Amino acid sequence: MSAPRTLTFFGGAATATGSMMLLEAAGARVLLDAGLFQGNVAQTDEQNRDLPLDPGKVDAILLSHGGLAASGRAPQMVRHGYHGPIYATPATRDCTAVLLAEAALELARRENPLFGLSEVFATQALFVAQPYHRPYYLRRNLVFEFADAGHMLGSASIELRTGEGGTHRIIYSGSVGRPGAPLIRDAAPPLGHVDTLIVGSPFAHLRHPMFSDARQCLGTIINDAVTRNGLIIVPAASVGPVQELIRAVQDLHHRGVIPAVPIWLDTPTPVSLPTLLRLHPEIMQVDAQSYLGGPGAFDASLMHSVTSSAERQQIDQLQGPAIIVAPNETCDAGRSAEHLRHRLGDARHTFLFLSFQEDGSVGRLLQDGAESVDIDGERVQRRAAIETMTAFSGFADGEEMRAWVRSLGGPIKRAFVVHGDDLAVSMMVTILREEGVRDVIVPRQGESFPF
Amino acid sequence: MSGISVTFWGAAGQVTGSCHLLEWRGHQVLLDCGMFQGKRDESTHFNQTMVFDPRQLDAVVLSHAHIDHSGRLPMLANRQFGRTIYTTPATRDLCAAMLADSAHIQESDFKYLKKRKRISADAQPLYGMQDAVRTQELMEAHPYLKPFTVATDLTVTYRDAGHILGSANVDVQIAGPTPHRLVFSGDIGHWGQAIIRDPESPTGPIDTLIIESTYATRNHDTTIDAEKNLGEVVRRVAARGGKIIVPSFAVGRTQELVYALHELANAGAIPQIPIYIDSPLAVEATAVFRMHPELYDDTEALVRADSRLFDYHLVTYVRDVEESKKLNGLKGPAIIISASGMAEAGRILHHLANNCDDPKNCILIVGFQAQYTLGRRIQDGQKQVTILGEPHTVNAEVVTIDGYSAHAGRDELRRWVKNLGGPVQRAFCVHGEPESLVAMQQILLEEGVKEVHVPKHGERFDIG
Repeated sequence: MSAPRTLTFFGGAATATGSMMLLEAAGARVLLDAGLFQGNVAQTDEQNRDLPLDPGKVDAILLSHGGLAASGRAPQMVRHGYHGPIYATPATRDCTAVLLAEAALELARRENPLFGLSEVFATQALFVAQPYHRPYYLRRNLVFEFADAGHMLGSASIELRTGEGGTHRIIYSGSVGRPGAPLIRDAAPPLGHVDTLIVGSPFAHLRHPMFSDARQCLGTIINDAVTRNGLIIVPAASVGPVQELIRAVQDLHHRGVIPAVPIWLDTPTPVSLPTLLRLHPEIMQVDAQSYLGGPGAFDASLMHSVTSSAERQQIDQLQGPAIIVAPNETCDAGRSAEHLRHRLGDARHTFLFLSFQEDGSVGRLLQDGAESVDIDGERVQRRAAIETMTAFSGFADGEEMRAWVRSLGGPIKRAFVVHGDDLAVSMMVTILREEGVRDVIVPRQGESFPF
Repeated sequence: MSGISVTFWGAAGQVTGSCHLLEWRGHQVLLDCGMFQGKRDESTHFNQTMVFDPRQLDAVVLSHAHIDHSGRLPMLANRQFGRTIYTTPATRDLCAAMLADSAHIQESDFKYLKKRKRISADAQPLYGMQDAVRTQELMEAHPYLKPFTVATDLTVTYRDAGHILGSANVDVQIAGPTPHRLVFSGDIGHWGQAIIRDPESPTGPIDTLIIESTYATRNHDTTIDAEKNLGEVVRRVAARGGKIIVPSFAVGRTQELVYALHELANAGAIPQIPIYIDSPLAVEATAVFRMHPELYDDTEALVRADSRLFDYHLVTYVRDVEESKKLNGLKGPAIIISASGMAEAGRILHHLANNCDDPKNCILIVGFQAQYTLGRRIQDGQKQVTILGEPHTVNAEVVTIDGYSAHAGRDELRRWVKNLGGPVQRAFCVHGEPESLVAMQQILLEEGVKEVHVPKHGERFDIG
C-alpha cells in the first residue's frame, strides 16, 4: 500500500507571482517554491500573510530560482515554524541572500512587516546548495534534480521521480528563460517521458524580438534619453533578468553605439552583480566563462552601486543622462516607487519595464496607458515615457516555450499550466495540445490532484 | 572488525596538504584535498603525486576553503572524479573565489616560467580555470548541525570550527554492526575572532579523532589586546602622516581588520583616515562574507549594530588594476591592506616597494610569516631586501601584532578537547610542525586519550 500522492496548487496558479505548490509523495510533503505575491501592496500583503499550509508540517522546500516571486515567502515560512532544509542551486542560495535581505530592508519601512532580517538570516541557515544535474534523494522513493532554466543566475527546472524505482516522473519548469541570452546558460530540461509536467509561462502569448534587434532598440531608447538629458529608470530586482539588459548596455557602449551612460544600481544590495557572477562561473555560457581572465562576463564598466544614504540622495538629485535600476518591478513599493513619484511628471525621463506587470499594480496601469496614477494617495500626472522591452524579461515567449516543451523529448501524459494571466495560460494550453499533450489542466488556487 | 581504516596523505608530519583517506567495506571518502605549500621543489613533488585513484572515491568532504585544505580539488576534477564534493555554503562560495585565483596564479606562473625557459615547453600546471569551474559544479553545500548522507552507511554533520567563514569540523558516523564515530577537527579557530562565531566541539563518545596541532606549542595574545595594539599603531603613524602597509590574507584576516578599524574609528580611538583594500580576492571574499550574515556572531556589538558591516565609509575596495596603480601616488596618512599575506606575490609587493624606504611609514605584520618569505625577512628586521627584482632599504617602522591568528593557541586547543565531553578512544595529531605534533600528543594524553598517534605521510591505520 503506497502513500497517497497529490499535487496541490497554491500561489502562482492564475498569477505570475507567489509561486507555491505542495507535492505529497513517498511519505514526504515537499513545497515547490515559496514565492511572494507582488503587485498592489494592500492586496498582496494580505495574500502573503495568509500561508495556505502549516509550515511545521512541510518536510522540504525546493526553490526554482532566487527571485522573490519564487523565494520571497521562505522567511515567512520560517517565521511560522518551518525548520527543514531549503534546497536550491548554489547561485540561487546566493541570490536569495541578496534579494531576501533587500526585501526585508524594504519591508522594515512598513508597519508590522511580513518578515525582518532575523527571519532572513534564519532562512539562510537552512539552505542546502545542490548543484545542477546531481540527483538528490529526499526519501528512498523520492529523488529530485535541478536542470538549467535559463531565466537568471541559478534558475532551475526541477525533475522529481517518485514511486518504486522512480517510475513517476514530474517536471516543474520553473521560470524558463530565452535561449541565446549572452550571459546565462540556456535552459536544458532533463530528457525523457513525463508523467506530470508543471509549466509556468507568463509570456506564452508574446513573441519577443531577437536579442540583436532588442539591443538596437535599446540603443535608440538610450540615445533619445541622452538627447533629452533624461533618465531611464528600470524597475527591476537588482539581481535577475536585468543582468542581460546591463550586459546589452555595456555591449552597446563598447561598440560605440551609445556614449558612456552610467548605470546606477539603486538598491541596498550588498554584492555587486559582477562579483556574484565571479562566484558562479558554473551558470554561465561557456564563451562567457572563457572571459575568466579578463573582464568579459564580469564587466563592471558603467556600473555604480549606491552604498550610502549620501549616495542615495545624490541619486534623487541626479540629472540625466543615466540609467537607474531600482526595485521593485511593479513600482508599488521600493525605490522604483520613489522615482516614480519624483520623476513620472517629467517628460525627459523614461520608465523602462522588462515585463508586463501584475494586474492592479501601478506598473501595469502605466503599461496600459494611464495618464495619471495614485501614489500614496497623491495623484501624479504621467509625462515621462513608458516603455516595455520583454526581450529582457528573462521569460521565454510562446514559440520559445514550444521549443522547450519539444526539447523534453518524450511523451507528456499530463500537464498543469501555472504562472500567468488568462491570455498567457490559454496560449500555453494551446501550445501543449498542439504538441500532443491530451490532458492539460489549469489548476485553481488551492486545487489538489491525486496522481 | 568492520574494516575501517584511515590513511594520512597530507598534513601528516607537516602543516600543509591536508588530505585523509577514510576507507570502509570497499568504500572510500576523502577528507580534504589540500595543496602542499612551502619549499617549491618539495611541495611540487607532493602536489603532483596523487597516490589514490580519484575515480574510486565515493565522495570528498571538505572542512574549509583554505588552499592547504581545498587546493587540489580541481586535480580530482580533471582526473575524472565525478562524484560529490561536500562543503558548507560559505566554503563553497569562498572556494569559487580561491580556486579560480589559484588556477589563475598557476596558469600565469607557468606562462612566465615557460617564457623564461625555466621549465620545459610541455610542462603543465596542476590545473587550469576550467578545472576550477568543474570543481564548483561538483559541490553540494550543507549547513551546520544538519546531518547528511555522503555514501553508503556514512553520514556527516558539520559543526562551526570558528576558524574562517564556513569552516567546519567534520563529524562522521559510519553505520554497521559496530557503528564508528570519527571526528575530524578541521582547523580550530581562535576564540574572540571578529565577525565569525567561536569554535564548537562535538559532544559524546568518539572512536577516532583526527585533530589539528598548528599552535599546540604556544598561546596567542587575545583579540582584545590585538585591537588595542592596532589602535596604538594607527594613532602613532597617522600622527606623523605616514602610511601603514599591511600584508594580509585576503580571506578572513582582511575582513577582520576592516571590522577592527571600523570599531576603533567608531569609538574615536583612531583618527578618520582612508583605508584601501587592494586585492581582487579580498574584494570577492568580502562579498562572500556579505552573503553569509547567517554565520555572524551576533553577540558582537558591531555585528548587532551595523547591517552594512563592510561598507564603512572610510574603506575603499580596489579591484581594478588601474585604480590600484593610482594608490602609488597616495599621500599619508592612510592604510593599505593588500595580499598576499606573506608578501610572496600580488599587489602588496608594489606597495612595499613604494613605501618601505620612508621612515614615516609603517609595515604592519598581522599574520604568520613562513621562513624564506619576504614578509618574514621584513619581520625579522632585515634592512636590505629585494622586491620585484630590485634592491630596497627598509626604513619604515616594522610592527608585529600577534592576536590576529585564525588558529586556536595551545590553551584553546586544550579547551576544545575538554569541551568534547565524552571519551575519545584514539586520536591522530596532524597539521603541525613536528614539535607542535608532539605537544598536541601530550595535551591529548593529559586529557585522558589513551591511544595517541602522530602519523607519518602515507601511514595507514585500521581503526575499526
